[in-house]
Amino acid sequence: MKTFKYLNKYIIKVSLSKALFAQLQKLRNRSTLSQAIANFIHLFLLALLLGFASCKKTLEVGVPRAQLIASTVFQSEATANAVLSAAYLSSSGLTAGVANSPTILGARLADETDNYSTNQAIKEVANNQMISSNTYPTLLWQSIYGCIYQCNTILEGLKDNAAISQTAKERLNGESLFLRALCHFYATSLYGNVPIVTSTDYRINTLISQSSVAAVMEQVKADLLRAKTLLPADYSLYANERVRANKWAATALLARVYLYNGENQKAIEQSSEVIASPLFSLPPLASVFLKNSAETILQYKLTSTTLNTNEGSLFILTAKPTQTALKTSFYNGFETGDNRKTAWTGKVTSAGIDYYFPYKYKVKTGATPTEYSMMIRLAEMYLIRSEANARLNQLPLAIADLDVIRSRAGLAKIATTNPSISQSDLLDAILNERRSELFTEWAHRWMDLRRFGKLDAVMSAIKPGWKPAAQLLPIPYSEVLINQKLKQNLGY
Amino acid sequence: MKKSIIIIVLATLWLIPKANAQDYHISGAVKNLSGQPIAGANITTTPAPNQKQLTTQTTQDGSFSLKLNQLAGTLTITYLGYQSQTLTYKSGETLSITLTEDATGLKEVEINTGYYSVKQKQLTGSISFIKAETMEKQPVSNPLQALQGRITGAYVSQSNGTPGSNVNLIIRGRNSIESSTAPLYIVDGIPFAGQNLTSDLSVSTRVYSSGGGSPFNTLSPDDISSIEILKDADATAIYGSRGANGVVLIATKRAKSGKTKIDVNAYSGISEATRTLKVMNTQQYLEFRKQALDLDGTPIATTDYDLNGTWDQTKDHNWQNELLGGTARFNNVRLSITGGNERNSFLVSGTYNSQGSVYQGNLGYDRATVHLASSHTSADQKFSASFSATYSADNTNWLNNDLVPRSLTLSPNAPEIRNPDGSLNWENSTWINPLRELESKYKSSNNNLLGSAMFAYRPIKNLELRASLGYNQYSLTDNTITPVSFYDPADGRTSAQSFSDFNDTKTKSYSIEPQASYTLPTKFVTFSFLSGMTIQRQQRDQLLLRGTGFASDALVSSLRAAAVTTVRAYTNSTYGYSGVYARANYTLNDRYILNLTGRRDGSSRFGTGKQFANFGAIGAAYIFSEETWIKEKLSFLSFGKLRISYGSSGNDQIGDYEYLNTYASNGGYNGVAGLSPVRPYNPDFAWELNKKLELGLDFGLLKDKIRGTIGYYRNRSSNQLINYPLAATTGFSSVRTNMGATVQNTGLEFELNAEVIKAKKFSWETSFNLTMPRNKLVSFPGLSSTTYANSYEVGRPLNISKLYHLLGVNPTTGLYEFQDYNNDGVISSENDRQYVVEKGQRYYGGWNNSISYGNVQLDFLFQFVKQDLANILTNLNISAGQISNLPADYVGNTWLKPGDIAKYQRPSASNFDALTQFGYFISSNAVISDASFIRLKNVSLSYKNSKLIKNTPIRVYLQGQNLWTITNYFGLDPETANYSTPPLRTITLGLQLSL
Repeated sequence: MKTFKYLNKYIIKVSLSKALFAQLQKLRNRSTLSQAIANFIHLFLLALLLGFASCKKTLEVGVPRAQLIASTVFQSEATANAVLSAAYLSSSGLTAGVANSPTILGARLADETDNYSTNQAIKEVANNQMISSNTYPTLLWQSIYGCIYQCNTILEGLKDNAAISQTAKERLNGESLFLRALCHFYATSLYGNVPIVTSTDYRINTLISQSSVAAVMEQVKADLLRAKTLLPADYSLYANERVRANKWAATALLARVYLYNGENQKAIEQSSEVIASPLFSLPPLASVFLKNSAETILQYKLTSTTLNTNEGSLFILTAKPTQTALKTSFYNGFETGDNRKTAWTGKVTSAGIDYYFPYKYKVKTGATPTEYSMMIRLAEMYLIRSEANARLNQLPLAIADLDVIRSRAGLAKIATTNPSISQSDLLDAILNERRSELFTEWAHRWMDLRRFGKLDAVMSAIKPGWKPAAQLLPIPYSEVLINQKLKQNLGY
Repeated sequence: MKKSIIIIVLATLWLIPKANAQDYHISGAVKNLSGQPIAGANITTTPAPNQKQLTTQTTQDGSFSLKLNQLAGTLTITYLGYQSQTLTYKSGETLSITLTEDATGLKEVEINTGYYSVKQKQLTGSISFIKAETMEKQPVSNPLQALQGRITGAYVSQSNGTPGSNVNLIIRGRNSIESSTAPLYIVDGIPFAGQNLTSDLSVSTRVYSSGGGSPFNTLSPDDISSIEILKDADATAIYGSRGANGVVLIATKRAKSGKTKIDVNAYSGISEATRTLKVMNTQQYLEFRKQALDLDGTPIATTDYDLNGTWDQTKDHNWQNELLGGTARFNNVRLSITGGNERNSFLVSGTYNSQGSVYQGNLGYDRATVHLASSHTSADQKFSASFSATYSADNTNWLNNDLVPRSLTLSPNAPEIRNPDGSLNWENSTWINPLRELESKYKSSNNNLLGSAMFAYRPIKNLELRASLGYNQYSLTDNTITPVSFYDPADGRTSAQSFSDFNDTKTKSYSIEPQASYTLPTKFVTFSFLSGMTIQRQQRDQLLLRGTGFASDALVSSLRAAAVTTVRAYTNSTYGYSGVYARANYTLNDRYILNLTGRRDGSSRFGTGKQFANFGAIGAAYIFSEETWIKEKLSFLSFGKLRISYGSSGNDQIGDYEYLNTYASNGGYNGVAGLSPVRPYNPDFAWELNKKLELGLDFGLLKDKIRGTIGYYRNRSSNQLINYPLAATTGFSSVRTNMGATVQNTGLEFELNAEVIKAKKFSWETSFNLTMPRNKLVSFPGLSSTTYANSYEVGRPLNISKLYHLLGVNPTTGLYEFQDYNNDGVISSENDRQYVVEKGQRYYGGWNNSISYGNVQLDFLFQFVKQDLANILTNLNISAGQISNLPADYVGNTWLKPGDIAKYQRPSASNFDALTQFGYFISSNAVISDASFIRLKNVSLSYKNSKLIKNTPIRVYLQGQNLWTITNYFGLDPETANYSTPPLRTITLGLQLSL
């Protein structure tokens, strides 16, 4: 067939050339001007035809060496895995403790740290006086929806896909759903009403509308419930490295979502499942943030030749702070005898002034990783179950879980010191326990203050010019500009 | 590489002239009326029947010799601008020929339009050019610099004074919102990758600041015979899709027949920075600092080294002088050999150029170029071939960072740079030594091979078949090192933290262009027709590596010694391009000229169904001075031509493969490589379309003693190729698409040449050019709902800035005040950056003079530009009052106490309000100001003598570039208007002799 095509082309070329030659002969024997011109035009047209055959071929440039055509990507498990790998990478703006991550933004927004940076955008964050074009909420938004897009390409690529095995598909779908849920959860927790994106069509997604917080939470729950059924129940697939989402990560996040949503019974069920798993236990304070510690449900492993974690790099002080340090008031807020005050905070003295810093991660720089960024850990599960029980007025159960956390920190058990504590006092104690346990992690403090309805009271006392509208991040200015269906949050 | 050299050598050998046994011979010399030898005059014999025509050219000293095929006959001597002469000869004679200048002769200049040549008189398009004679007068290393101030419709500016840095050339304004504004560059028929290779993710971005390095540095100006700038539709439509931004044709020097000649030309000189900025001295500076702290109410802190006595307060450094005040050498040597007979000729030349730096340290740039050209004509004159090849290699050894920012902001009482033992002084870690940059080197080498061959065959009279083949290989290898010695030893860094970047970029392209042309001259009508096609492929590869952790600083240039190597970029792309074109020209009575050009183009940068597009133009000219009634009634009008052209061309200057739906690898996670979509999939975008209209009047008065051109153009560019901004909810920031926005460039161009005095020994010729461009965004549907709304406004030029509107300094608070556009009581970038400032050139041009007296010739060129650009304030991002020096303009113009009416707000090192207002200030209308200038761009004084040594004409010359500038610009240099080394003033002395 191919030979025939070639032959055909060749014959055409030869006959064209012959015609060309004949015209040339005519031109040589020209008699009149008009005839000569006419002959020449014939000649030209023939030459054009001849030339055009080779023209098209010049334009065939194939695909660049470092790229793959989209249609082939989901034809093999290896390449589909690579897309998921890129999804984890693209989540790093959310998950890896960079300046726009919930961890760092939360630490700056809430009552945990003082700002020493002269950067205008950071000052705005730390003063809770952002303008909507502030780079940090913009970067976080881009990272969240970038990761959601990547997850959606996987979910779409695996739909009706016969090339990839069922087991692989389940795992790929499960991890994508987990990441998508994590992204939507933080989007709605920090920005309020946000778009739910479940497709990859840019024509639709560039003009998408916001959904209510409740609707986003429903989506998050649905994704997590599906992920939970699809994902493996241990870490064996990844050489026991706890750096990829499995069933337990989905269950743990689900517990948190239910708690935030007021579905306390379900929160208890989910957190109990995790607590009951033999995979997890509470190690001593010093080992909690080590890589793959027994407390870890999920960690983010940074790809870096110089750092273990971004958190360690930013928080740990060796001299007078130029970025951030713990507020002295926060440092002094630990209960007397709380071992976390000594194990998880550090101090540096410069020009006679003491500066405190979060010292959960011990490595500021270092090529060989001993620590990974903690995403979800067991202690939170106890605190979730404790709070859910407290809200359901099952106080002894609540106290028992709270005391597990207190005991590890070297604090007296409430069961012994104050067994008849009232529900509201217990909730206050839980909030305070969460403060000491989860500080400068994943904006827990910021979101807790809001959940407990204490944000205005706490913030107005320490942040001059605090406005209640500052409880939400602004929808990025560029987003509102491009997508006019988006409504800016109040106060921006 | 080796292969290419062998090919060049073989090709040259093949064309080396073969001896012809002939018995008849004639020689002589050609001079003008004032006795000056005329080089390059054509001598042709009138052939007897069955004999072929013989031809030669005079050499540098005006002499010629010609082997003849008959004993006696007639000779015709022609030379541009002179009346031709025909005389009889006899073999063995030595002729002395004097040519008279022909006032109207210049109209016979042949203009190369790329695919065809046309007499300037009959030109229907708009083309400006400069010739080798003009280039030779300018001591520049980048050929594009030689165009500055000399041509209309093209604005040429240097991006900074670092050797090898970019020279911007924009023809008739910016046509595109996002696509490149670079014109199409063609060197000897081969498309040359004129865009710099260092613009994307390379190691050299800091060295050349914004512009990157220029590939044109690898072309030696000495090897260039002409540069032509094709501007309107008539001239550019034959380049179709690539002609939207104009076309620059660069022709290298060709082989010359005649006696073997050796030409030596050497010049040497010095360069220094053109301008400096007056900054505060120590006394002014310290007082200003104290005022800042007083107003802030803060005591002198332990870190205020300039005030607390840590630094010697009696020192008064002039940092600009210490860091940029050096004198750089500038050397250039060229040796060329030409020769051959009427059928075979050759040219071989070698050029070496070296430049030093105005910084301290052993830094420099050098370049070596070899240029070969040869040509051959068959005995029956039906076949001819020419071949040329240029190979050049350059080396840059430079700093990794420009020293200008530090030189302007370092405290005048900062410590000494060096310790008495010569080592860098870190003054107990109280400062960052500016000369640590000498440790962090930038090294690059560019290699450029350009080869072209042209074959022409005339099977029958008036028909010519041609084929041009071209090959270009361009590579850039560069490396920056950051050793430990770059840092203060007290930082305690180890060599494990040292790193080094290695970049390797290669571009290869070839082009094949067959062509047929046919001319049919009759008594009243000349009809000519031309058609051909282009096939072009370009391949580009880049590999950028970073090595981290070296055992020793001494090994930091070796990737092998790195502990960790990471690939920072690896890209490959292929660009395919093809087209067919045709031109028909119809000339009636030498008076009415109609020129039609058309092209069908295909580009691999577009998806299926969008690859091909048609472009075309119509040009017409009417030489009204040929009308008898004009010849009779308006006899002072020696030449007059009206021309008009209209047509289209396109722009495909976007990235390759953008229509593809592909995944590319990225870093990955947990040891698994990642794959993610490269871009949102849109295969439906197509060419940007540019429609050009031109009206022109060319005239000559008083026997062409005064000649001029007035031109008007209007270019409208639509179907703009842009990256349309997407909401981040799509996962992308933009999608490549066409946008219905229209950008318009209009302008007026004037050129005037006059022979003021023309006497036997003394002559004075002057020429003046002026361009008045206007750029406008005519329409942009949906502008307000895109992020482009922050940068553009319909009805305004593309080159605007939207800024805060500075109202002044509040006399009570001493703070800057800005207009609150939406009256919400808050100044914010979203709502209050509404003050629109138009930047760029309002008009520009040049005034050139050539005065000669006997053997002495003086040329000087003034360049002038009227423009508004960013001034120095935009770069001073440290608030006035902190440890950072300031322009002396602050002294006496700063608010100090309530009631002061001042230009600048209160000095402050730490006051929150003052720092905030300062942040707005550097983005306010205060930072854009007049950057107009008049510059004595070039002076050349030369003396010729051909009698001093027999048969060896000598020329001695003194040349200067960027000699003197008149400007009110608030900043370093108005041409660059940025925060980098200003263009250099160069003065050289040279000697040229021909053996």
